[in-house]
Amino acid sequence: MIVLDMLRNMHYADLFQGILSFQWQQAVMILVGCVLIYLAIAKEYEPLLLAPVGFGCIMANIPFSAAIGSHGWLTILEHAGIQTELFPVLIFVAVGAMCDFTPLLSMPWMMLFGAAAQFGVFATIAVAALLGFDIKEAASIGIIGAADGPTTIFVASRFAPHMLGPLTVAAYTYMSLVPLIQPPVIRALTTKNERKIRMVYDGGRPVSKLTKILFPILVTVVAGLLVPASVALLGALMFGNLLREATGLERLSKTAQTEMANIVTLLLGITIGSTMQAANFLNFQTLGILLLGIVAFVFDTAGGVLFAKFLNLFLKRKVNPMLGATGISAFPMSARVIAKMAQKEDPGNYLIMHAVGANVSGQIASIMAGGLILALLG
Amino acid sequence: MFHANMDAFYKSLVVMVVATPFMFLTMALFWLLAAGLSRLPDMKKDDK
Repeated sequence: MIVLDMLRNMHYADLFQGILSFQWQQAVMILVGCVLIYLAIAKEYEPLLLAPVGFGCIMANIPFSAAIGSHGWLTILEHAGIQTELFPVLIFVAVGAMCDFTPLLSMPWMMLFGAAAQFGVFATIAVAALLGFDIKEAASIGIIGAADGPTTIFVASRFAPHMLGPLTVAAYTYMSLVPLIQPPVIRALTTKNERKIRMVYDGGRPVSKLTKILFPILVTVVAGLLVPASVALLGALMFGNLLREATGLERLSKTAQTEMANIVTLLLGITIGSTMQAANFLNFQTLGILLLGIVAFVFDTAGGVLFAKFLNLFLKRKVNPMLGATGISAFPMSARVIAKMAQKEDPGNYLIMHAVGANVSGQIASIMAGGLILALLG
Repeated sequence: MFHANMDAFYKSLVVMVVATPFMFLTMALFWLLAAGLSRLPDMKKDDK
């Protein structure tokens, strides 16, 4: 009798509501999720991030998914980690702990390349505005040019949370496509002879332990006084770096580099994926964002290369203009690409140390660019 | 499909004009900072 009552009172319709409500847009988004997982696993394009993003996207696009909504764990994570900006900040602690500033500190003039390669950020904001985006949306798109995922997420979560999904996918996808995006731009802007310019690496200035410890502290203070909006991200990066360099903090440094980095990357990825719901993603805005993402990387590369060429007008010992392109934050991808290009032009040309120095400066500069945008438009 | 947002465009130009030199000045400041720090004597090593 009790069993019969139970059978009579069950909500059979609930069993099929998912199938009955399934729309083609959701099918497309599930396909997008699968493509991201494929790119992550088969092509190894930013696998640690794109695989969780893809899976989060699949879970969020199943009709009546219990993973999202007021009680869904992915939405709870979004409130806790993205809207509070906690996840990108924690990622920066991990990045700082992994980052060795020694090549930059031994050749500190490389800092200028970091500044030059942020040109793409600001130029893309203008282009995005011309395509009809409002200034905060345009700024969130421009910051893709920082080539720095956490900075993009940080700025977007404040300025354009409705575009977080496509912005993150664009930022991380194009970062992994640096070997395809940068070389043609560099070749178009430089001559063969310029690409062959050799730069002697004499080991640079020796960098003491004290320098490595004081640098992150002083940069945080100076940058914070100039642009307080940059303290959250730059402070996190520099704190991570202090853990790396200070004696006696090896355990914290190791935790930041491994367990914490892995946990936060996993949570960040799957949460970002959950924001990629059909209604937010399948529109012309997304198309515009994906297009402008490439524009940002192209402008970044061009800005860096042209700045290096400009410097050469005044320098006795010329710099290889390809180095300018490594001022973006995609580390160490960009440095590797340029070092490889240099050796292709001239097998005896070793630019790797210079390229790494400029690439590390890009990490600092990209955060400064994000902080500046927040300060100017916030 | 897309209509230029001229108000946003003018603002973006202002951002570019202000931010670009500011970026160079800040990074040049970090350059000087790093160069200055490298002149400091290193920490004394513990002989224990």
